[in-house]
Amino acid sequence: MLRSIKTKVLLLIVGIMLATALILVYFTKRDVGEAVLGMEEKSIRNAMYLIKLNVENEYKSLLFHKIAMLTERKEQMKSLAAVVMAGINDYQQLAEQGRIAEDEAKRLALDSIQKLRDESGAHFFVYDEHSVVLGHPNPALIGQDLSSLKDVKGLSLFDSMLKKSMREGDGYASFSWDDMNTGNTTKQLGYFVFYPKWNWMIATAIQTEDLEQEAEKKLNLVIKELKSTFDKTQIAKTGYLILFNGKKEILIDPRNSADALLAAKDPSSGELLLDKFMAAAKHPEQPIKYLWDDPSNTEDGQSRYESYAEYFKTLNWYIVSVARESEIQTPAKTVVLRQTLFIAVIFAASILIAYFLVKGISQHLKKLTDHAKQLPAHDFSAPETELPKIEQLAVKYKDEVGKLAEAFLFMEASLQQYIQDLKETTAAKERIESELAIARDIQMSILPKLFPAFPERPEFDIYATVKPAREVGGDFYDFFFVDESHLFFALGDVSGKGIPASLFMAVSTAFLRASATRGVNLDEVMARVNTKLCAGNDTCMFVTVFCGLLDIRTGEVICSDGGHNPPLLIASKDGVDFLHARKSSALGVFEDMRYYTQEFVLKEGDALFLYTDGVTEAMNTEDELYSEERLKESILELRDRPVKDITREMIERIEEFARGAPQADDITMLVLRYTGPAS
Amino acid sequence: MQQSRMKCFCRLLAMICAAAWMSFSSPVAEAAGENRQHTIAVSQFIKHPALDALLRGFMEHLESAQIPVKYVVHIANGDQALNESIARDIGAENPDLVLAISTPSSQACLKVLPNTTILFSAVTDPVGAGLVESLSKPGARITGMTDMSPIEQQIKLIAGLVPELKTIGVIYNNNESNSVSLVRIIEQECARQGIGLVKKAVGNGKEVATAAQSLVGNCDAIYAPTDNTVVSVIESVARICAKHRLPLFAADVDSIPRGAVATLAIDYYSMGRQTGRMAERIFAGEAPSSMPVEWQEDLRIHVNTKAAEVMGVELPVDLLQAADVIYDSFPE
Repeated sequence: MLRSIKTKVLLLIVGIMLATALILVYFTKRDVGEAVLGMEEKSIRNAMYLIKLNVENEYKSLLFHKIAMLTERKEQMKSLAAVVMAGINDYQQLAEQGRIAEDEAKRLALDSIQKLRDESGAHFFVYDEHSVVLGHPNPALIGQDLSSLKDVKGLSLFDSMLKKSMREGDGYASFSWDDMNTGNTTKQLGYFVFYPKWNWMIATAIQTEDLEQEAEKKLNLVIKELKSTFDKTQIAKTGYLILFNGKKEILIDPRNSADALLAAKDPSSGELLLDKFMAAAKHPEQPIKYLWDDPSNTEDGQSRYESYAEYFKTLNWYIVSVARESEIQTPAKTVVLRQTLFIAVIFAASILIAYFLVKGISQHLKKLTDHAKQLPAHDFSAPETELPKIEQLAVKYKDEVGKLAEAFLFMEASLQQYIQDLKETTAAKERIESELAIARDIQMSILPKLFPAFPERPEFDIYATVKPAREVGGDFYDFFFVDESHLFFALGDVSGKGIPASLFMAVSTAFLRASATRGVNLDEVMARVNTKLCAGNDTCMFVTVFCGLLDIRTGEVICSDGGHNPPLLIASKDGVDFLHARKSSALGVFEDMRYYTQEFVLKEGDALFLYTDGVTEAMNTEDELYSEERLKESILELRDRPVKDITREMIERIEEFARGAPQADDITMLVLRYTGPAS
Repeated sequence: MQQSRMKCFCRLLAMICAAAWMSFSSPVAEAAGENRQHTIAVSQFIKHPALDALLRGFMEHLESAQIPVKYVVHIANGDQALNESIARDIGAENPDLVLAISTPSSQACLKVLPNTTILFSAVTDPVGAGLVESLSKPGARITGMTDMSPIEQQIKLIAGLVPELKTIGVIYNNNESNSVSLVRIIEQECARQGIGLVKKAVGNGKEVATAAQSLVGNCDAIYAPTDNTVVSVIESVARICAKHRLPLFAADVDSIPRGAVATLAIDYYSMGRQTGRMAERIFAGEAPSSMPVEWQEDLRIHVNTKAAEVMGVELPVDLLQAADVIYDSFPE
């Protein structure tokens, strides 16, 4: 399975894509998720911050409203005082003109001041430089020394105002006034003017409680406006904002869950939620998390909530966002999920595309592979039948697949050409080989092959064999009677191989047969054959020959060695040894060479073993030669065996020795055993 | 404000201020015949906005009262040695009246000048400083005005504006003896009103911000007394307070536009005018011994709405109506 390129490529692609997808999902979850969550939390904080700014602005306008009201009130008092002063001045003028007495003028002035009541609630009183009340709406105060009355600065009101007015003409003061009639203490604002002509201090006083009340009303309006803002402000999906003050009075709760909020506790710590919010307001940027069963949320049971708290210290107000943790996290989760899905889809699509791409490529490869597989079975000699598929690939695709297909086509064309050539060469070779085989047959037919050769002659046993090598060689053996009692035997080896050697061997055999005639000496036979072979031997071929004449009546042997391997003399009693006859030259080398002969006697049971160098030079796979020593040992072991067995056994031993190494040369052996004269 | 705690003394120039001479050009004054020119030697321990305002108020009162005066103004630049040498110089000048502004100047003048009439001002504790035997009977040739802060009222003001007030934090330079005695009074007053006090002593202006930071979370409001070191860097304290919504109150009016929420304080200018009136009485022939030591007739309430807002203080109407000046600014 894993061996196919398709699977490998697909696995690689899937692996890379999977790793990429996992990394993307991981970072999406981590960074995008956190960023979206952060944005959500930031938007809550922004909403709260905007509300806080709103409250700050409202407060500021409230404050300026207070100041404006005060300024207006002060101006009003100043103009009222101006009217009063004008009245007093009128009386003083009258007195100065002598129309009324000064005391009378003062009394009338005081009377009118006491009666004066402005619709704004202002009242007027007069005191002298010793802080003694001269005129006041409350007659009980007249004549009293009020120097102990202090203003908000802790100064003596009458005295400090007297000095200030003397210094600067007029002055304002704030003070508390205990109304003896009602027993109430009221906050008053006073405007003081010095009237130098009578050394009077004229005071205009007005209650300022109403200003506080008006400010309070304004503040309630602010809360009302905020309420509508809070109603419109949605935190996350179902969250909301609440407003309460430091005394834990819920000022705004869009869900009417004030009672529940007051009693709500965080189950983990048992802490009151409002206390938790108040503590959290110290860190408005950090959310607080808690479990709560919010009755305003329709879902049953407790949920995890996340809140931010802002504190507006000036008004001692706390603004708190209340939202489910899950809702705050929802957008982040949604984004992460969507991104993950998106990545998954891309992943799947990529895998699919990759699959088809790889499949497309591997399909062509498979086509080529299949084609290559059936090539051995393809008959290239047959006329072209089916190659169009491969050709199509080569034409259609210019990529590696096309190139491969082209290579296939080229290879096939070359193969066809090669097979054609091969066929022709083989035909020629077969023809030559069959001719060679015929030559070999002819060559072998020259040698006597019928054994036992002379069944009617009990005096000796003779056996010879040739194990030809791959090529036609030049080994030969021969034996025949030159007269009734003399057996001529020979064994030779022509130099070289092939047809020339085989022809030379045929010629040599023919010459030997022709020369070995009755009555002729063996040295003459050799010399004659030598002369004939030398004549016209342009190819410089030669032949080594060992030949002999056996007198079957006595066992006497005359032999001549023409450059051949020494034969083995197998003495029935004395063992086996090489017969070192006097060496003469090989035949066909030089003309007019003298050939020596040697005589010896074969006793009954003795034998001669003739062989060519194909025996001693047989080679095994380790390049070891069979050697004369091994030959001698083998013959020693085989000496008592029949002649045919000796040759057969020798061939087996040589084959065994060679261990499958190819036979390089003809192996030719001849065994002649003298069994004694015929009885 | 007094400068008696200045450690570093440097050599100074006596500054001669132009003489104000109205009567030469005023035939009415000439006709009156009593308006002969008086010489007043001023010994001021250090140049400081409050003390400068006092001197200005003094001069302007006498000018408006059409009393011709020739001034010789000496400023010791906080140098005690120079302060005493100034006193000796004044002896050589033989002025009609010496105006000694601040405790060290008053003490030096009293010590060096055996016969000259001395009018002091901006002295926190004249009895404690050895200037007078008692406030009601000051002595044969010396009288003046005390600038003792209205600490009781100030603490009441703070308590009124900070509903949750339990502890006040105070920063002062413990090398300034005047501050040390102020803090002692503040401590007594807080104890009397049942309010806790956290004291942070500093050695120089650089330590003030650190001290303010360390007060965050340990008190409900910070009170900056009339301490030169603290007042000189009041903006940095204000910024820290604004950051932590901790109300800052001052004991002088100049600190209000610089970031403190409110003060009930002596107005040194009007104190100068009041001192000027005392000088007028002396020139009119009244004996100093019959003039008790006076205290500021008028106190000023200055409020900063912006500071109140950033420090989370709600300003009630009665405070706004009593305020002499309302600021709406905060140091950047």
